[in-house]
Amino acid sequence: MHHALLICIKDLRQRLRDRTAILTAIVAPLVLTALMGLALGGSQGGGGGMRLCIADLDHSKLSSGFVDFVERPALGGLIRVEPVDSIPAAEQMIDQHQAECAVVMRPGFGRAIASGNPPPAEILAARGEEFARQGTSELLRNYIHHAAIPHDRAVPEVIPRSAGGQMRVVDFFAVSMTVLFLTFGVLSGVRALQTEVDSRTMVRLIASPTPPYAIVAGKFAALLLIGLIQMGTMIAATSLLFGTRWGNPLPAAALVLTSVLMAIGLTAFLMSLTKNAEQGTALAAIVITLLSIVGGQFLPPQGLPDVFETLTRLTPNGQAFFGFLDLAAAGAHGTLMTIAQPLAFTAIVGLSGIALAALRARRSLQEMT
Amino acid sequence: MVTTTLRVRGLSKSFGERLAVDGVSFAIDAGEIYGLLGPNGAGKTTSISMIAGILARDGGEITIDGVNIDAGPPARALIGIVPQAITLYLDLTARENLDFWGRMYDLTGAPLRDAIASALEAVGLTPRADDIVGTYSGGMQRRLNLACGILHQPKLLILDEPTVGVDPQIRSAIFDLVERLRDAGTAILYTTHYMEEAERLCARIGIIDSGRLIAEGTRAELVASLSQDARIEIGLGRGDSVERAERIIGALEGVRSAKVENSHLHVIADHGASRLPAMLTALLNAGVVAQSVSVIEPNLEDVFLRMTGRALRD
Repeated sequence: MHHALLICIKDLRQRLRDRTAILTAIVAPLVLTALMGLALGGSQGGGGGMRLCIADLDHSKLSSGFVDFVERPALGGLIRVEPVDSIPAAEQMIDQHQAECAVVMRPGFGRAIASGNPPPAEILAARGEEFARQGTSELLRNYIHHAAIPHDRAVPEVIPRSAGGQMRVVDFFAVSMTVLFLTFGVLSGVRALQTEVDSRTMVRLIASPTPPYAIVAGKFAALLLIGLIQMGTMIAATSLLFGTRWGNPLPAAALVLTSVLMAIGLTAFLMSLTKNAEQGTALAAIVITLLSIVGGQFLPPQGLPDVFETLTRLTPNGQAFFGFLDLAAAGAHGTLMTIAQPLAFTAIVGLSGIALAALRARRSLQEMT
Repeated sequence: MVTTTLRVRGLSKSFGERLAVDGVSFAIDAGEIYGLLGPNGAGKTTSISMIAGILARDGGEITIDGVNIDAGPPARALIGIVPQAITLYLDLTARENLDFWGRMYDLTGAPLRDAIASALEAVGLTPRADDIVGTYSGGMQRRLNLACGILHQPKLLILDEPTVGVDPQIRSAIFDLVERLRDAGTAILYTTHYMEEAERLCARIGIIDSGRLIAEGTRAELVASLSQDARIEIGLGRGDSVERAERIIGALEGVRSAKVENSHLHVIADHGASRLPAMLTALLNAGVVAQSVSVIEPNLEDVFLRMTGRALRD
């Protein structure tokens, strides 16, 4: 296996010399995260988290339960509740930028929920706080859904849906840019592999006393390491620079691994459909960008028709992306089960893509020699 | 005592319906350069790909220094290959390229360092050893390509058209290096479609066409098989009746063919040089004056033409 190690080291050396790849993998996503976070973050700053003003005019068990729901540990302090006792007070909080959003639960809120009717509630948001408004709306809808279950069942500690707009804007883009540029970073490695076939250095490799499995192992190890190093760097950098939380380390590491596999499988398969590295790179770039748009990485789906939220979950990058958001929302309570679906989806896509690419590569290798 | 380094028996390969290599057999001794000569698409590259263990063969046997190619890594370790394409990592330095390839052939430590230094010296690239290969000229890359193939001092060196696209100076340097390797005892399989290269370098030549080895031997043996046919070119003056000259010469005893092309009469005759006076006398008697006369001894191109009906460079 030392031949595999030599190949892996050689590939890594080549990637580290590629300044464009490093810019794409690390610098670009960090810069974009900062810019998008600044541009769309509104007045969310300072101590972090969204300030949510709650006017409980109902004073029922269910209305006060909403405050508990918003403040519970699973949200990791992402939302700071500012209680008020009237609608004008809530409006004043918004006007004076002391809160991004306000929820007004009018009298009859609890009775309506208990009887299965739409509860009298409204959401107030400042101009430009569309993101916060969408997130708060989602939060309230989520609570009402869980509040409608029998009262002797505990409200789940972990929010089963994506935190989405419940996160800070900068956190949203930290995760989305990390996943997006992971694929581009791995693509540079896959491109280099295809270039090795195009330039026929692969022929010399095969002619050497290196077992075929060592060539495959070395190449795969290099791609895996590229992805893992990139993800690790981005997680560390966004945590340090923006205070982004990525959730429980163990499940997060598992999702990092399957996300990297997903990126390798997707880019390798797309590359295998074309004749050379240039064509493959162009095709992969288009597909990755489209998948990222559909995958909700540029815009949270909460503000779009419901069909988009379904579509995001059908894309492998969308699964990875929302998996990370779910983990972040779950905080220390996150487990592998929290992200079971994203883990399985990304792993299957990754391994399938790798297998299909390998089959196609074997055929083209025979034609090449 | 001369040892046989490469032995190829009954090599065959098909791609779908097309039989690319059909029963090719030959052997190369240590310290011998064997030329595989043939036009593009004759099966040269397919044959050497199988010999190098890159391409699976459909039939036949290949041994290198007694080791069957099916043994895999132990056999491939005995082979050095210099592909026709430049197979280098352009984003690494020459030294890094050689270091990598040396390690892939299990060289390490001092032997690896010495081998790198020797290879760089042999191809004249020591001053540029630490420059990125992408900054090299085409000729320099071609030389480094060769260095990567000889680094581990293989028993068998396969050179696949190593001088394609290089200038005469680089070609000459490559020839010198190949001859030095031969003198050091390396068995060399050299493929080319340039007759001149085969004639200069190769002790024995195999002529391959349409996947079959149609002739084999030394240059002298192959040319002798043409039964001493010599080509005579007679340059005719303007105003001369070339058709009449063609008829006159064509009618002479021993003349096999006489064709006019661009005011030159091309004649093939038995014992051609000895029949030249009779040809010139016949032309003079007919009032045709020869402007120039050349007697061209048969060469490998003629051998190929006789055997296949086509030119080597068609």
